[in-house]
Amino acid sequence: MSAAPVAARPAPAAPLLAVRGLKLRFDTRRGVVRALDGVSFEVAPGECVGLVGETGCGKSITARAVMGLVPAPGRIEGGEIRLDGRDLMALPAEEWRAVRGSQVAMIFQEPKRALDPTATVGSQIVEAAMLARRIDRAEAKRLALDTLRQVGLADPERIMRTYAFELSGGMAQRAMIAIAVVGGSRLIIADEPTSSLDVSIQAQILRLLQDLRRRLGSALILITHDLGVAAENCDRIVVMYAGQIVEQAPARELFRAPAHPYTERLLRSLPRPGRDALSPIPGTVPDLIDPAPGCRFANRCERAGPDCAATPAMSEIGRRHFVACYRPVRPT
Amino acid sequence: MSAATSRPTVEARNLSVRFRARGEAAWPWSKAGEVKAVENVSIAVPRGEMFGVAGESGCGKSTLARALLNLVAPSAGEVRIDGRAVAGMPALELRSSIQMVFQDPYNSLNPRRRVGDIVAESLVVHGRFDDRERAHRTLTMLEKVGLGAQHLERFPHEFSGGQRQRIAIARALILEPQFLVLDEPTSALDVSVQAMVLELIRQLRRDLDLGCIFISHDLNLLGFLTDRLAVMYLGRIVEMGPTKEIFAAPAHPYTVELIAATPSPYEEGREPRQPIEGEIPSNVNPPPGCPFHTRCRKRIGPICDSRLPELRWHEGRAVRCHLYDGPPAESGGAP
Repeated sequence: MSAAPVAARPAPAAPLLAVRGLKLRFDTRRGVVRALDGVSFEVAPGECVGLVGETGCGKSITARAVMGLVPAPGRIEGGEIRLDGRDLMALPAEEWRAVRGSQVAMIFQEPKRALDPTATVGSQIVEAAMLARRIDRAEAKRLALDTLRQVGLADPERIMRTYAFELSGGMAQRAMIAIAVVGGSRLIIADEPTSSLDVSIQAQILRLLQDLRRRLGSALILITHDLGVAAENCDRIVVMYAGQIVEQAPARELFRAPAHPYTERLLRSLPRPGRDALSPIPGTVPDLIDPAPGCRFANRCERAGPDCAATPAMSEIGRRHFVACYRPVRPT
Repeated sequence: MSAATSRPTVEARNLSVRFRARGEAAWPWSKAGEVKAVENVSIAVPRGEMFGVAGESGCGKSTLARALLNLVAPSAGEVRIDGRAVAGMPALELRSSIQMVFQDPYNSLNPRRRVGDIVAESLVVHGRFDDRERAHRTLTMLEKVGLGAQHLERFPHEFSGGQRQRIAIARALILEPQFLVLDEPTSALDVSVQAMVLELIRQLRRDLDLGCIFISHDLNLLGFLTDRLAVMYLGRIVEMGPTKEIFAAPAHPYTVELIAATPSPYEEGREPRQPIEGEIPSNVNPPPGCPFHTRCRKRIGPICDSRLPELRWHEGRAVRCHLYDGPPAESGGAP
C-alpha cells in the first residue's frame, strides 16, 4: 500500500515531529525500569512511520510520551519532543491538553474498550470536534456526520446514536478513527489499531488509514508488532528493542537489507510459506531494571564484542538508513 | 475414506456443532437462535501429519478443535480416533490418545501448582507408573521441551509466555498421545518467541510421530508449518488440500482474499488490492446459498445466493464453490 511516490519523497528540512534523546523511567518497588533509553526519531509532514518491535520494547510508551499521557509512575527524565518546532515538554499541562486532539490524536488497539461505553458515538465525536476546533455544537455535528461518512460508516445519522457495544470491532475502530481525525490533527498515532481485528477487517482499516492520511495530509505513526503490516503501510520503519532504537530505514530497504543484528534475526524468525526452518533468537530480552550499559541486544548477539558495552550511536549506512551497531550486517 | 491409509487417524465425519445463541438473539421475548458453529465438516488426519485449520473469528475452527477432543458434543456426525467413536470412549482412554494445547498460556496453567506437578498430573490421574518413574518421565519430558530440573519446583508465574507454552506442551505430551490439537498456541507470543515454540512443535512432531491439528488465523504461519490445510468460513470448510498447492494457486475466492489480506514483508511490488468488503455474517442467521456470496468478488449469479455448493475436487484439493464443477469430494477424503 505504500505507493512508490510517497516512499520517494525527499527528506524535508523541517520535521513535523522530532523526538530527541528521550529517556523515560518507571520507579517500581523492584527498582528503576529504564523503559526508554535515548530514543530519537523524526516524522515528516504527511509521512507514515512504522514503530515496530516486540513486547516491552517501548513502542507504545513512546507514543504515550508524545501524547503527554505517560501513566504513573512513568516519568520522562530527559530529551525533548518537538511538534512543529514547539517543545511540548515545556508546555504547562493545560496547553499540552489543547495540543491533543487538535494537533496530535491517537487511535488505540481495542476500539470497543477505548470508546466511552456510557456515551453515544455521536456525543464523543461532537465533543472531540468542539474541543479541538473551538466550534459550536451545530457545526461540530455537521463535521461529525461528514467525518463518519469519510471513515466508511454508512448511515452516519444512525451511528451517531449508537453505543460502542452495538458496533462490531471493525465499525468501532472506524468510529474511533473518526474521533481521532475530526479535530484536524496533523499527526495521528495509531497504536496496534488492527491487532484485535480479523485479517479481512484489518485490511479494510489499514486501507482507510492510508486513504485518510493522503486526503487530510496528516502524518501517521503506526505502532505494530506485525512486520508485514509495517512493510505494506509505512514509508519508513523504526525498529525498537528493549527501550532503544536499533535501526531506521525506508520500509523496502529495511526488509531487503536489514543492518542491525536484531532486525536481521527478527526477520529470520518470521514464519512464511516456503521457508525451511525458522531461526529463533537465542536468549531473552534483558531486565530493564539496571540493564548493562551499552547495546541492549549485545547479550543475545552473535556479532557482539567488547566495544558493545558502550552504546553505539546511530550512523547512516545508506540513504536514510540508520543503524545503532558497531558491527552491522552487510548485505550479501 | 481413511481406510486408504493404514496409519492411525483422527477423523471428523460430517461433524456439526450448534449452540443455543446467547446475546442479542436471546432476549427473553425473542426466539432463541442457534449458532451454527461447525457445519458438516469432515477431516481425516493421520499420525505424523501437520494439518492446519485456517479462518477468521466465528469460522468454527476452535469449536472443531474442541469437538475433536469431545470437549463439546456434536449435534450431528461424529469424531473417530483410529476407527473408534470418541463419543462413547472412556475419558482416560480418549485423553491418552489425543491432547490439546490452548491459546492463552497465562490462563491454561493452574497458578497454584508447581510445574513438576502440572506436568506429572496426567500420569497420576491415569495411575501410570510409580513415583520414581513418574518423576523420571516428567523430567525427561521437561527436557524435551527445553526446560530442566531447576524448573520442577517453580510456579507458572515465574515463567515467560513462551516457557509457559512449553510447559503446556509437556503436559499435553506426557501421556504419549498419538494426536495433538493446538489452538492458536502462539498467537499470544512475540515473533521471536513464537519461532522457538514453532520449531519445538515441529521437532516433537517428527520425534514422536504426532498427528497435529494446528488451528490459526495466521496464514503465513500455516503456510510455513503445515502439510495440509483446511480453510473454514462460517462453520464450513471452503477449501482443503496440500498446503503448498493451496498457496501456489488458491482456488476458493475466500482463500484468495485471505491470502491477499495477510500482510507480508516479503511481497515487494505486490499490487495493492482493494480489500474485501463487508463483515463476516452472523452464524446465527447465515446467508442462504454459499455462505461467502455476500462478500465474494467472483459471484457468478443467483445460484450463489440460493444453493450451497458441495465440496468438489479441483486440482488435487476439495473446494466448495460454484465456480468449480469437478466430481464431488467424498466426505472425509484425503485431498
